[in-house]
Amino acid sequence: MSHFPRHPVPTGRTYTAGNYSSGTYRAQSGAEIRILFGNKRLGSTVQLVYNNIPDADAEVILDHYNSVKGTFESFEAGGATLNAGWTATTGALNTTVMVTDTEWRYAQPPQLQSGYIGLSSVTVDLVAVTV
Amino acid sequence: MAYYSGPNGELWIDGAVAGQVKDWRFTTTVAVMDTTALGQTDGTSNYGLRNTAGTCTLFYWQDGANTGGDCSTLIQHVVQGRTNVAVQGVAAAPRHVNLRLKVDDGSTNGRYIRGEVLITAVNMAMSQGEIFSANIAFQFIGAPVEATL
Repeated sequence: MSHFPRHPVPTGRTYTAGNYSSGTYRAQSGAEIRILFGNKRLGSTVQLVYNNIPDADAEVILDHYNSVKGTFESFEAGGATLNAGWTATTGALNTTVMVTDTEWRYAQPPQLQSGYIGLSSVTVDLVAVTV
Repeated sequence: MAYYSGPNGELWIDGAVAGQVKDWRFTTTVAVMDTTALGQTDGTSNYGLRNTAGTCTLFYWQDGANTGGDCSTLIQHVVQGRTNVAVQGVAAAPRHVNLRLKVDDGSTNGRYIRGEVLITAVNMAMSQGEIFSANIAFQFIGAPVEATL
């Protein structure tokens, strides 16, 4: 099983928690009924930003993207990638830990910005998927 | 060993020493690129782009009437009248100039920083009680050709 690179450590991270699959129905009286369709939280996303990292580290990310066939294959992620700087429960930001049978895949190709000799900035968007 | 001051300063314009220079100064700045990763407690950074720019002040001085001078020579790199008096929007394009900011330390060439610069601003003011002069701002194109200061 492929694992998202543990190095480099992101310089910024935005986590969106996803949601449970449910339906909402509203009667003409205004009463609302909600039906839960599953017991797993779906669609969590995380955006990882790597500002001004060495080109070699940027290449590690691109190599991983290539190794999982782009957005096609899923993989595990955790450790410093999803927990660096997070001081609460370890793994709370990692759906692999929170919800079993969940992995990550690339939501879109990584974006690489070259700003200075030898340094690049990379943005990675991941989405959690149930396997 | 010696200190240096105004009498040791020279400004060269396109290979010739300029007269009536009041002052020159330059500043080299280096951008700082933030590399602080999640989990760190102290900011880390790396060098980014470097720029060198400066200013100089030249008294407006002429050998005789309508003979121009070093101040005129320098400001006319950017201060231009119309190419055709009837066409408002067209004048000669600004030109870059070679400057040498030199300290005469008694050696053959002295110590200096020199290179091609873009003149980015010209400020002139005529007023009672002051010698007419031009304050000129410039920015080096890339790195200085030589920097031996």
